[in-house]
Amino acid sequence: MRKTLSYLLVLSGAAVMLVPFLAALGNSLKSFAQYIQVPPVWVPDPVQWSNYAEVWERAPFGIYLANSLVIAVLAVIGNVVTSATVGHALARMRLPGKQALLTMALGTMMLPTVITIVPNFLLFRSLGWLDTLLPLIVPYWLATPIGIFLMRQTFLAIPRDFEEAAGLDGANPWQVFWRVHLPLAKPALATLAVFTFTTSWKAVLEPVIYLTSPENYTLPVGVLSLKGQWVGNDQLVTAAAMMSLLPMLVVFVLAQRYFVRGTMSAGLKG
Amino acid sequence: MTVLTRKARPVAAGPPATARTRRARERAWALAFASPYLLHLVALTAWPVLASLFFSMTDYDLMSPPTFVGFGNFSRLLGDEVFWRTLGNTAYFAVLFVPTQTALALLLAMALNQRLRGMALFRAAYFVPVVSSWVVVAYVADSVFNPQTGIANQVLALVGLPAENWLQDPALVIPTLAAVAVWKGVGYMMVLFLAGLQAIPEERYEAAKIDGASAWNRFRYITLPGISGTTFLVLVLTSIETLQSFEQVYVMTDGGPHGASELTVLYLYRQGFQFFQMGYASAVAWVLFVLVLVLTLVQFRLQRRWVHYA
Amino acid sequence: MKVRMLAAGTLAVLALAGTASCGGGPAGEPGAVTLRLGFYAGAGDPADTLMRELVKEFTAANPSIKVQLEVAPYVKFFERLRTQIAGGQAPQVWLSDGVLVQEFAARGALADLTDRVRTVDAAAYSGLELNRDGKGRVHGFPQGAQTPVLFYNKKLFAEAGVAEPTADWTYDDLAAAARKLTKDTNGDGRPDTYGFRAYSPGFTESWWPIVKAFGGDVVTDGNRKVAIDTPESRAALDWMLAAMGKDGFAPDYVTTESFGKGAVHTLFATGRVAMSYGIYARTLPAMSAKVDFGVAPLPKGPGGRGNVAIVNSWVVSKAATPEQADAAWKWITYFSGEKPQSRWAELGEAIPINKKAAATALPADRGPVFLEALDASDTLGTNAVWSEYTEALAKRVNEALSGATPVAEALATGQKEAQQVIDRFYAGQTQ
Repeated sequence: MRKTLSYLLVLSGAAVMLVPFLAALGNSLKSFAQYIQVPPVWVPDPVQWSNYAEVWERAPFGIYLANSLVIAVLAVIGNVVTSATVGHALARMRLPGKQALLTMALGTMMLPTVITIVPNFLLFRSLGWLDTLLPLIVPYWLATPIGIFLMRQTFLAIPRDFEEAAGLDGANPWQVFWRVHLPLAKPALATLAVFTFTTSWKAVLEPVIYLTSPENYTLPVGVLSLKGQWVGNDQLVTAAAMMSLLPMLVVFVLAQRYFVRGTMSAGLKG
Repeated sequence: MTVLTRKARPVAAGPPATARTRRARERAWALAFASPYLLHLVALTAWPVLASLFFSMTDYDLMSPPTFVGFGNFSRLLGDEVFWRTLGNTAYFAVLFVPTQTALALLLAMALNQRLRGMALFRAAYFVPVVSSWVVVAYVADSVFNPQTGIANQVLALVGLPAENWLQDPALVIPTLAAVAVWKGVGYMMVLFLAGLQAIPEERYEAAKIDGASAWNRFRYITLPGISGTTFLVLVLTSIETLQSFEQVYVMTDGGPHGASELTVLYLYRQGFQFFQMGYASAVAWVLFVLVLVLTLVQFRLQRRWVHYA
Repeated sequence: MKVRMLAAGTLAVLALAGTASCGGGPAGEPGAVTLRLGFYAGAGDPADTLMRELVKEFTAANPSIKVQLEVAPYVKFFERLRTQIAGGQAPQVWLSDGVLVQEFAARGALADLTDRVRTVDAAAYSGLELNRDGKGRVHGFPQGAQTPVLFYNKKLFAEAGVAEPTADWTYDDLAAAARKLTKDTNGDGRPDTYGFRAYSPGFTESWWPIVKAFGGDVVTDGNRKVAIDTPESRAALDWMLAAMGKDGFAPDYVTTESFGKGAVHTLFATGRVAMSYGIYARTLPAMSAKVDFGVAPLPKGPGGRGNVAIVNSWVVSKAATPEQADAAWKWITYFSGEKPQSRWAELGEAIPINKKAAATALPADRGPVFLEALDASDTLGTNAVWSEYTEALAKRVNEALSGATPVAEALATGQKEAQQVIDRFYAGQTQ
């Protein structure tokens, strides 16, 4: 009885989640006349796959995609590497003021990003980085508080004997970190990687502020700019939006367990 | 800054293996490992906090140097009705959004926790909106809330209700936005709750059942206290985030109609980046910052009353 | 500031170590100038196409000048431009909406063109003086002029057997004709053709001239004082509300908005409305849609016709190098010439500011109506905070026009909020 109710709830919830996506997908395959038809047609007739090709033809979609990918990949590498080293220092190394740093990391997690918008813009302006991809990448190379937490927890859980067992007596701390601890932390690294990828891929505020040339646009900003350009062609913009989701969906399907694990272990927000 | 200068010295020092130098070397390594975050603290925490405090007391149009105006921006804020309205809009949005999402997420998590078949698949379905960008969600939401062609009005028509204008209606725009935000975020929160629920030992429920506790009482006295830690974390993080909502309204309504959905951070963005008033924008940021801080502190104080850590 | 320098330094080092730099200054052969030129147009628009052609002809004639175009649709163009100005990255020359020239100038973003303008024959161009500020400086050179007139669809008028608008029309005449032109052909209870388009998110073609025609005012005292909260303005908005409400001859606020952004300008071109106020640029979509249309002067109200005009202008960035500024001025002089101006006008994009071109290139039936309106026009309340104060005001006025707030209340709030914006800026300034 309870299970049936639960099924009903979860199923109808899942429908509410997915039906709007299907409707949007349908919209992206209509002609404009059908797109604005009242009452609406749910299944496009004919199915206009050419909309997707047209987006590629009319917009530098490939450039947007490349920018999004470059930013996301570099952000992932940067955040994973630096969060791991910092997390390692906090978990396994003799670091003066360790506790204070940890507390500060907790504090910055609560720091509203709103306070950073203006100063960071000015900082990047003085560095000459406006309208480049750097402001969207470099901050990830300075470790993120949430990544530090995740990695610290992970490294804390690795037993001490591993270092000795690895036969690395006399090895320097980098070798211990690189050869012993990092390989053991792979699941956590993967978790951090998918979350960084998602955050970077979805970002709107920062790209809107920092990127002004279309050749530097990321997918979300690029799709947004099409909205103003293709008045009377909303079906194409919808197609572009659907396409911008696709790479993210692929990552999600491939790495689903890391999304779930990450959310559960650290309350990471993708 | 002393931290940074200290880091360079020991690395260069030679290798003699006395206990003291070994400790110094360890410390140097540790500092080197931690250095990205030290830079982070300087460049991405201390700098923005201090700089925005400084700019909030200036007039700064980005082209001429900032001129000091003391608390001028803050007194202007006090009399700025548009600012207060954006704050009201933000609060209204948060009040609708946070409890609804929390309750729904908990409900779904409890349902999923029944070890349902295909649980992974359901979880995935709820997660798709979570990983979508707001730009995508804007178009998905349009397929639902477009007054002419959207699903929502079709459903209303089916049950004989009049059509609504959703995002174009000043009275409905914030509730509609909150509904879309719940739709987008509930999956994430549900997974958090699921983790909390799975951490509650099964024996407690068994024991309660044997004692004849009703389903409600089991929920009230086992489940709720069991997940209160998770709930607390979730509430703190979502409130911080919700008060700073920007992307959703920027993409979906641009603050319209007639500013009915203009949230505080959108106002800040426009004051700073569209009307060249960086000083004033910084003052807005600080007021919001303090509000977020106060709210967080209040939540931390209140947690003693209701949060149980097992 | 120490913190800032430290932060900047460390970040720079990190960036070099961690990532490839994406920046890079423009370098070219000696003597060559690269000019970034910005203008607004929808991609692939006829206006976009023609502008690109003109740029190509210009660079062919001036091989030492290389032009990089920065084009985006109106809203996006100015949002991006503002971010670029904030970041010190504006193009060297761009087409500014006439109402924004003072705004950019007041923030020190524009080069002073006063001396250059002195070198041209002032009698050959119109609109030069509209760009002169209180101190006699000029920061923009006219590109084209826009002023709203009454567009009407000849076919729909003939079908309904209604006499076409004349110069003597009053607002009552307009309403009477519009009522006859409103038709519900498919019988769903909602008109498919409306007589008139009253509301538009762009007030230049909507409530601003109507308020003035009814004897109201929007701003006075050198555009420093908002004065819209008067019985005359209330009467104007009431007239519009009746048009969209009980008289039902104009699409109401929600109907107009749900067509989507930008679609309001296509209502006339697609025959959804028989009459609409439109600036010269609206002839372009109407011609592309092959609508058989005419234009008439705005109807008379108790306060006259309420004509307003915008002179869109080329402006030069203050950050441009002397060579770039010279090149930018060359472009401006080229564009103001008779031939480019004529082609621009023939396209249906703007009233030429070159008087010779204006005399020859405008269509004989429509030209005089636009030129007369232009002569009779006031500015659109331009000042250094134009976009901010008009936005504050428009928000409240639209609130009234959508029926969400009573007219009197909306005008009072709008006036107060818009005035706050203006006072804030001018309070600390002696200008």
